[in-house]
Amino acid sequence: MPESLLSVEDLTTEFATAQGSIRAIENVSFDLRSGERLGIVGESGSGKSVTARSIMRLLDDNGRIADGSVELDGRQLTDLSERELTDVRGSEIAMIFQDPMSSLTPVLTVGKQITETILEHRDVTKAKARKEAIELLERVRIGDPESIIDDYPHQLSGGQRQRVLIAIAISCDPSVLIADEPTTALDVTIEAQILDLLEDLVREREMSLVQITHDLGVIAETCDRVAVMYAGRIVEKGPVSEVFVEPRHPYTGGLLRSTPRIADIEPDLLAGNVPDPGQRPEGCNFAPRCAYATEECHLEDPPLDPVGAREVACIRTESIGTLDPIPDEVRQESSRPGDGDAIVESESVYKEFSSADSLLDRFLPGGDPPVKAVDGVDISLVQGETLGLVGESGSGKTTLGRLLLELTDRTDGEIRFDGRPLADVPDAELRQRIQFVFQDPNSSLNPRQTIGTILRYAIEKHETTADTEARIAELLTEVGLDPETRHEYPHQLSGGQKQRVGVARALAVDPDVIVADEPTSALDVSVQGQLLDLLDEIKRDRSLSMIFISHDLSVIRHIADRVAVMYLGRIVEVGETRSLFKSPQHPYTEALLSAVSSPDPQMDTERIVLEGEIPDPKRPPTGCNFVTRCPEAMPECKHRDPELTAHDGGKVACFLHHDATRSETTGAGDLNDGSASRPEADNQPTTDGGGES
Amino acid sequence: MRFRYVAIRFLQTVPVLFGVSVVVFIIIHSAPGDPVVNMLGIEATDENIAELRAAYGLNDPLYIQYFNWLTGILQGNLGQSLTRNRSVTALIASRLPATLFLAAASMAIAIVIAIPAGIVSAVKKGTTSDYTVTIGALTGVSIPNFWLGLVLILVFARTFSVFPSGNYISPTEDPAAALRHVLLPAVTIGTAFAALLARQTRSSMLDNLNQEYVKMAKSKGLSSRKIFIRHALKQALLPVITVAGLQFGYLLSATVVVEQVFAWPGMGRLIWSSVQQQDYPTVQGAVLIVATLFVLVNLIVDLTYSYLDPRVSAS
Amino acid sequence: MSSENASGQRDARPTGLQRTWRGFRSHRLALAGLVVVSVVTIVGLVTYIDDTLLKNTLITSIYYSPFEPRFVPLQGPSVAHPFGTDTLGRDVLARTIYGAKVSIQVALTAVLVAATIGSLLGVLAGYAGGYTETVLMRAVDVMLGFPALVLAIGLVAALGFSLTNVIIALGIVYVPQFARIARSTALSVSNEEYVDAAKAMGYSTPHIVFREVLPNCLSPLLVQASLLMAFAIIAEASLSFLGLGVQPPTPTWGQMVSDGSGYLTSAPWISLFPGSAIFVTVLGFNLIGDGLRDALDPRENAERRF
Repeated sequence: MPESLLSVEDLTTEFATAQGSIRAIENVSFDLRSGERLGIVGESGSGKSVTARSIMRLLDDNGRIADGSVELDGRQLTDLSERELTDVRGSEIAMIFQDPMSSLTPVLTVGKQITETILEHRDVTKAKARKEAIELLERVRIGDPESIIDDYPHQLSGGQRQRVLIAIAISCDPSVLIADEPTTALDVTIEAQILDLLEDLVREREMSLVQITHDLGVIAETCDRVAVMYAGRIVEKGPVSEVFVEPRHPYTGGLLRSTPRIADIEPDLLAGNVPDPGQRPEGCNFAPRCAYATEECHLEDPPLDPVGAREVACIRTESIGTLDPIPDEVRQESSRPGDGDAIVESESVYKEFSSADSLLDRFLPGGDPPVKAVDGVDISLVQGETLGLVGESGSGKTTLGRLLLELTDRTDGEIRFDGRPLADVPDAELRQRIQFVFQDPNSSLNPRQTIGTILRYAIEKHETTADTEARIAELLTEVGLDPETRHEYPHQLSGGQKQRVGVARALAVDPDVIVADEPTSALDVSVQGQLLDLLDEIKRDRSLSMIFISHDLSVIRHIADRVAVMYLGRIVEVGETRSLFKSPQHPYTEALLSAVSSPDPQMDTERIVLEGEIPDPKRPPTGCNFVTRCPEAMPECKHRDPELTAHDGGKVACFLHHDATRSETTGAGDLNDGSASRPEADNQPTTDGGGES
Repeated sequence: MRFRYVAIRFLQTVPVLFGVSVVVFIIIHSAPGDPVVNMLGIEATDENIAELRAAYGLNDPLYIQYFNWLTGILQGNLGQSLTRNRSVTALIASRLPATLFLAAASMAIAIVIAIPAGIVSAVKKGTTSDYTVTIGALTGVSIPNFWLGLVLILVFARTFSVFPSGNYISPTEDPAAALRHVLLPAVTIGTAFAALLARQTRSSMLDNLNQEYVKMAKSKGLSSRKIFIRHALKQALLPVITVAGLQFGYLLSATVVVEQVFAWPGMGRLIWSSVQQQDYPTVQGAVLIVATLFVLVNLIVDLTYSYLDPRVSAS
Repeated sequence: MSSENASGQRDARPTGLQRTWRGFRSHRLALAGLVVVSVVTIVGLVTYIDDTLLKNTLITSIYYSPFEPRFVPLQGPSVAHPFGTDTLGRDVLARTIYGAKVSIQVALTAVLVAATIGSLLGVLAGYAGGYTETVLMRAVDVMLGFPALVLAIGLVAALGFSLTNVIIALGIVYVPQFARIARSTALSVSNEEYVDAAKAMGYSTPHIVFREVLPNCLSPLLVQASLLMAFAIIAEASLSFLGLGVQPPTPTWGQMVSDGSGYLTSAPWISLFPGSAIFVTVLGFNLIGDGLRDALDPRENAERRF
């Protein structure tokens, strides 16, 4: 067995809290060989971040390594003093932190933060260090490194900051790189860029990589070996090609089966919740949720036993054998209503947000231009369907959702509900018939109200004579919660439970339409599926129409009948889910789809990596919004804006498929028909809906 | 874009100053008693009263009086003292330096003590040093300053004759003596100010030491000293600057009382004696100047902060 | 399915109020502060009743009257007069006890009234935004442009030197302070999704302001109230020290310190005891404020060190 570069053995870390001392991770062991890429995957509470920080000895004051050893290149890191560690950190082992905004010191320039690392570990002059810093910025593919180097972190975009973090990490050529969720805070297309970059760098500099993430797809695409963590322990370890294709541990199998995928597959959900660190069960941590658990499983924590090329922490693995990571059921098409009436429609809706801080700021000349959050959007929701609204940050999807129920006032354009303009719909009716489900479970419920109170207000708003207690119990049961939950406060519930309460609240007024804004984004993978299923069920039972907003294409695939893709305030493509995912028309949709990583390591995906950043919504490009990054951009795309036009069953806004230009007048409620404005009838050859299968 | 920001802040201060002048005017004009009657005494005849009232413009409607007063101010004329034979402007000009000197000395003492104390107590959180500083700060903030002043006089001036109890000597005349004389009153005021600053520094420092970017700096292998100075300190001191500016108002308030205790001939004493004597124009002028000073100090602090914090200056 | 641990027992985590009390309770200094403040408040209440309703019969029957100059002046502390006697021959202890009445009255009334008015204005400004907010906050800025005591002196000079006017003056000085804090808290609360959800539900504005926003703004306001009570006591004492507050014969601590200032070397007890009374009471309020702040701040919660 080749020498391992990094050897972690029986690592156990505990934290002191008001409730006593809690073990965050227990008996974590793995090896990292030179040049190898290891992925550590787990949901929240699995302890993966704590593992990384324990290795680097970067724990909070109340944490400490209780047991175990970490050996790097022969040296025992656990034995070193702080001073000795400063030699090791940064130069031999480096870490890329998760949130680029909070990981960079706001008062120092980016360049300073890079050069100080170089100057700390190597004996070079300041001038040389600065030169190297510029080279590093170039290497991490930041545009215009000479000027960026003197910028402050808040002046850069998320993607740029993450690249700076990477530059800092590789600046002293460490042999081990630990990447702690490096792309979680980023948009999908930027994530693709960063993962691509990491792969290149690791290969070029022959570093070993530990990639920590909750995203199975990322692991499948970037890592050679994987360690799956659950509730503070490693449950399975081995080559990705084996573990993800033929998992042995029931949790690994469950995780793979419950992940929403882009392919035509219905996820198979994991029941139950991840236990809190302070409340882990006796015996195997996963046993309470495991379909294969026996009496014996509840006695002791199973050790990691070798099985072939891997190690599995399950006493029953011999009898269970390998599991199938892909569930069998092919997706049921949710009952398609056919082309019914549009229940919600928008026509050339505009929304601008002022960038002014104060009244004076607004009126004095020279301020920033307003943010065009929604820039002329026509959309319609057919009765009974689920429309998915997809986009990255700055796409305007959330704003559009809010505009549709007048949670935010629009700047211009028309919105119709049930055929009537919103101005004609009385407030009370609108608020009863369209409801909103919010994104952040930690913010969507009033922390000072019990669940019962929250629901009671909603119910009483709807009908004042109801038997409130009974209704509360009904609603809670409908969303899959114990009616007794009504006595609890939000902080006592888990994220998934809070989201369910949010749904219950929306349902309390008996709406016809629900707009759900990224309701699953803050949840763990195994819980996401549960919530999505719930929404689907409710929609069917109550014959609702739904708009589902998300940045996560796999989730959209799972739940939407039709999909609208948004970019920088405009809709670039609309289509039926299946056909859009199979053969996307717009280059952006293509790129978006290819950026999604699949948990199946056997799938060979040719990824389209877009260049550049998402443009500033205050200053969108002239011509087509996507022109700055479009791999298929033609010269005319810089001068003319494509109109969203019907094409091949859906709609697309791209000159590759048609020639209709947007009329640039703001506010002229011009319907789809953009052909009126063009003088030259330049006939472009219509290309077939290109893209990938 | 900096210029625009500065311009906006300046413009925002104008209505505030304007509002301050209106409030001062209204308050003073709600005072009981007829100032002219007080001036002339009990034997004044009705004609004398009427004459003088007309001369002072006291018969005009309020807004005219205000307007006249305001235009006067903008030309540097704050009116005439009713009980002392000088213009208000002259009175204030003679007293202001003493107060400013006292305020500056208090601030200096406070900053020199408080900031290091706050930093130490944050870095050594939970140890004896921390507790000492915390308790000291708590005490400092709770002691009434007039009482502290009296105690200091008792101990240092009377019992031990180490420092004189007040008596302003201008630093331009005799720096050494000036410092000796300002020491006790400055310590009196500075104590509470130091306590506030120390607490603020401590909490700001604690906030900072827990930030992700400090961990990040640690992961780069930087020494604790470097991390502390470069990454934590500068960031932590920023909000302290703001607080110091805001608490400058406390400083000004404190001078009113402390100047009394130490017989310090400053603005505070002027306000007090003018209130006692019902010399309303002086009260008006003095309060206006003090408030204006405070507003301007806040503006300067704001602009300084925005200059130092790159998140504001380089946007 | 609420959160259950392995043995199936319900997770009985306490409500917000209970957690706050627990956090507070564990802070021993804060408890000490609470004790001190309670004692002073009770003394203040009792003396208030005695003074207004019982015509001082209570204190004269138990001890000596604070008003009558019956004793030998300038006597040091003794068994008969634990705090000594003052320049006019009045018992200092009796006067110190009576001083609590004014201090507590001023602190509690001025701060509570200011807190109510200021918080409402601030929450309204923070929630409503737009022109309402701008106008209100400019007014607040103007009032905050005055150093607190200077403004109080000006107001008291205008209104007259009496207890009621001191309360009014301090109230006016403190309203903007509460308004500012209330506004910034309300602003951040209004950005929470549950406020949006309330709007989406179509709840009336009064419901949103009073049931959704306000209850979540309380913590910093409570802390501020307790800290301002400490300041109010010092402010009232300063005013009466300067002779600009409550007038004799009502004894106030500030006045007593001022009376004794001419006799520092010969009879320090005249100033010493009332001064200490101020110090201890103010310290008590500050400790409570600190304790509340620590208990309510989620970050400070919990951690021991290894």
